[in-house]
Amino acid sequence: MSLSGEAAGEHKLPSNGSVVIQPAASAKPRANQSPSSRKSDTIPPYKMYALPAPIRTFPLPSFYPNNPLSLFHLVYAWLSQTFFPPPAEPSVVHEGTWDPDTRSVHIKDAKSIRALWQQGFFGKGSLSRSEPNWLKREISRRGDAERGVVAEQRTDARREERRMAKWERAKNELEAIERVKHEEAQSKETTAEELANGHVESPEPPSAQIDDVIEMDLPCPDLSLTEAPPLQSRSAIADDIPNGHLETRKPPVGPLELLALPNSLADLSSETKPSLPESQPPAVNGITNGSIEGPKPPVGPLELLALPNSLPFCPQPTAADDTTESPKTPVSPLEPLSLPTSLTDLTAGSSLTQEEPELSPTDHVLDGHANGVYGILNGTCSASTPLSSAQGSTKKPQTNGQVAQPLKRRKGVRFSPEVESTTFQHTDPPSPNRSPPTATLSQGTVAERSATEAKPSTAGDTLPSSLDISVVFGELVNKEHFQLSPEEAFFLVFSLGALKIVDPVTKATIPTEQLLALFRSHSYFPARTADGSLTAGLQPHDPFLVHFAVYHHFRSLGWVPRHGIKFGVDWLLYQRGPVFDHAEFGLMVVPSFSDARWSEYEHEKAKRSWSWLMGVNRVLSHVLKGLVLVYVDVPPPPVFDEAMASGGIADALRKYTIREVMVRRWSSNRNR
Amino acid sequence: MATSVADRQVRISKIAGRYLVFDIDDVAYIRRHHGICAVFTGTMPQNPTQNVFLGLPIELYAEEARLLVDKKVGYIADDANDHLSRLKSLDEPSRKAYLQSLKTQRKNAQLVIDEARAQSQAKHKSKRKDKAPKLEPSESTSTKEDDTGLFDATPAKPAQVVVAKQALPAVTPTSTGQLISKGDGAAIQVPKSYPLYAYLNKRGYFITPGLRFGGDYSVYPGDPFRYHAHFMANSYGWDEQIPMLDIVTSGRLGTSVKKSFLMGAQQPVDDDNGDAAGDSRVRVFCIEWAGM
Repeated sequence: MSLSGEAAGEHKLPSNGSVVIQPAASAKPRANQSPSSRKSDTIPPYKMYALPAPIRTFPLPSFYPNNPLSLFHLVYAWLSQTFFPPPAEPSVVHEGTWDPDTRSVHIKDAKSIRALWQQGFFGKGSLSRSEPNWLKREISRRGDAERGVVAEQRTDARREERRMAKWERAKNELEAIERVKHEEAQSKETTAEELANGHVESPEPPSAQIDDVIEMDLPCPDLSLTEAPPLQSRSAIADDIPNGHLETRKPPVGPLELLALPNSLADLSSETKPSLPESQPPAVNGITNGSIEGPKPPVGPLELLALPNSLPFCPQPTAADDTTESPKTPVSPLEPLSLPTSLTDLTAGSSLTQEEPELSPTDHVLDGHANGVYGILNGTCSASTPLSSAQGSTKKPQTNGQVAQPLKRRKGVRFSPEVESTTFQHTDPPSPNRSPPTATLSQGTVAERSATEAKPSTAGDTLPSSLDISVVFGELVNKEHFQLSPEEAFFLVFSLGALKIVDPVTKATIPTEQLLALFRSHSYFPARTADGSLTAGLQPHDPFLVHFAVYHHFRSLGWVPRHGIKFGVDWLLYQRGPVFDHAEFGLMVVPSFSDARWSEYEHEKAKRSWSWLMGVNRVLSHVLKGLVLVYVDVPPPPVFDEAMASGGIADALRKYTIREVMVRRWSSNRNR
Repeated sequence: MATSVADRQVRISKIAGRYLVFDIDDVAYIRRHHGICAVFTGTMPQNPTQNVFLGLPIELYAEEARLLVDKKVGYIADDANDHLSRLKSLDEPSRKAYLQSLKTQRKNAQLVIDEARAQSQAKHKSKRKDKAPKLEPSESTSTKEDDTGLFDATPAKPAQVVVAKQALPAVTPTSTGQLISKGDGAAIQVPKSYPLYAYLNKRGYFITPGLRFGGDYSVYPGDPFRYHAHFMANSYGWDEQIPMLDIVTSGRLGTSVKKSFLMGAQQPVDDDNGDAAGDSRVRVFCIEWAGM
């Protein structure tokens, strides 16, 4: 229990608010440390957040009659506390500045921030969701892995994992189906050669069909197969087998295939246009894709579209070799969908075939982007060809590509009419004009470079931002401050005395009475601070008073109340704190005017509707929280004023009573 | 579907403050032509205990009833109130006409009964002939005499039948019939969200109550049999302040059920701009959560 705020916080970040990061030189010695020694530095959360409020207590050790020694311990503790009494609690009074614009109390001192956060989870960082760890995030974003991971990254990783698992499951199901279909199809075939002969002339129908489906103007690929093969006839034959399947195929009907289709026309055209002029070499693309075992499975059906981004990084020659080496690539029935790629590529690239080796990686990237739609299909069916002989050889480059470029996500919503990029990374800034200094840049792989070059929108900024990193790596200034809501601040000031609040202009400490009036007047919008007097239009049912009564009530009972706007409720109740668990309840505060004398005074009418209750309840039950309606019986003005005059704030607050009603939806059909 | 689509008048019975439609043809008509699907509230005769799929009648809510009346394709039949007041205020000729109509109703009923009776008698006769030809003659004569028996077709109680002889059957009219006033739409109390409802309906959206999604309406792009709802609509006053928490709740909820949150309001009528078509003064906005 004696863990003080400073001691607990020591291990996080230096307290001056700015951190000096030495990129390479000083990072090395730290890297030499074994991971276990670094681990011992970190304090487990139950220790770090041991204090439920910024107050320390010094309980006497307990006395065990069967252990006489404990008596000495007791006496020692008692004596030491009598002769050297610990400082009066709260020993540390933090200082905050009232900010009328954001209606919050700002705290700039890093020590105070840490103390308030770790001892009771007060406040939130202005640039973070709750814990003020912008600086940490920033550091880890800039690639200083030594600093450890922040919670947000773990969350991301967990979500990623989950998506991956889902994708894997879907893939397996699809695979099973495909395998059955494939076996059936094979049993019908007599010989591969015959089939090839039979179908060389007729690859057009399926591709045309698919073109219809996605409504795009691809060059008609009908002549491609007959012309392209001379160079690699073997591979052409291999290519044709899928075509054989193709013809029997229907247009994509399954959910996965449908999802894999381009979202919109705009999307498609923006993707395909750049690709057509410098299209990739022959069928290689399609076939490698087809034969490679799916790299890292893309995140979700929608993000499948992002898959081809990693494909281009497989070195071209290998891919080409693979295709020629794998004449009997077992073909999944999904392959048909990948056909257009190979076909169009063939038409466009049949003349290019000789130049194949000279193609720069950039081209790959571009093409990968452009063929995103198809590539993804390739990816899917590739996953369903476990027998592929090319697997082993292509695996390596594939994984390289993967490491080089982090996964891109598909954008779901687009607001701008001109779509600059349909994919994004989590680290991307909201504005596409600002290129992110990616962590992978330091690795300096060709793939990464080409990827950035490939995007014309970000290309211009790539250079400055990469320079930026080296320059900025010197010093990183913490731009984040800490915000306390008025209720939290008043609780700290009035109930605990662990905070003093200064006026933003005069820098003088605001006395508690005045602070209450200030908060009350600012709980209205616009604030009722007209004509100088603070207590002008104030009522006992000011939102601040009602909410503070609730806040105080639940804080005193040991809960950690935090603002619940993200779930559409007034407060969220955490049992121990946001670090340990999810909020258990959402509170809606409902002022109640049950006192008979209220009929003489005007007060706001209750205007909550049933649909409001259903909505709130539904939102909360989605996130597995209980809805609690907190009725606050507000004392009528004379009672309140009298109590305020006689006994001060504490007496006045005593007049408020709190009733809690937990609401749960119960449906006779569901809850049987 | 007997009447042509053009002049069809949907009878909306107002019973205990609810607007009900009992005619299946009317139900199909308003669903097909006016985008109103309403809510089935009756039980299914085949399976009266289940409560998932319900049958006729459908219950319209006030906005739907109002819309139909405003479009002049329906009328409100409020029998309970209308009956007495109309009968009291009748003048002599219409009173006579009404009585006459009742009489014809009774005669019609008589005809129907007779017919039914004759049929069942014929059946009986053939049966009895097969079974007991002896008893048959006496029975048939008695029934033939009092062919004005009340509702029972079986001649089990000859004495009673004789008493009721010659009297037309008593008919309890279920409705005041054509006497009923076809009330105007203004009588229907609609919630404040009616302009939004009318606005959406005019644009071909199907609308069902949105209570379970925490909104006023859930809005479908077509028949709810074919589509999921696309919007969750909430109506506000033109100058009403919308609490931030409501936006968060609705936006969050709408996104989690894959709908977008729509809010709409009607601009109040200005003095200089006395535009009667309130529809044009409705504005709607959609909110979608982009980061989820």
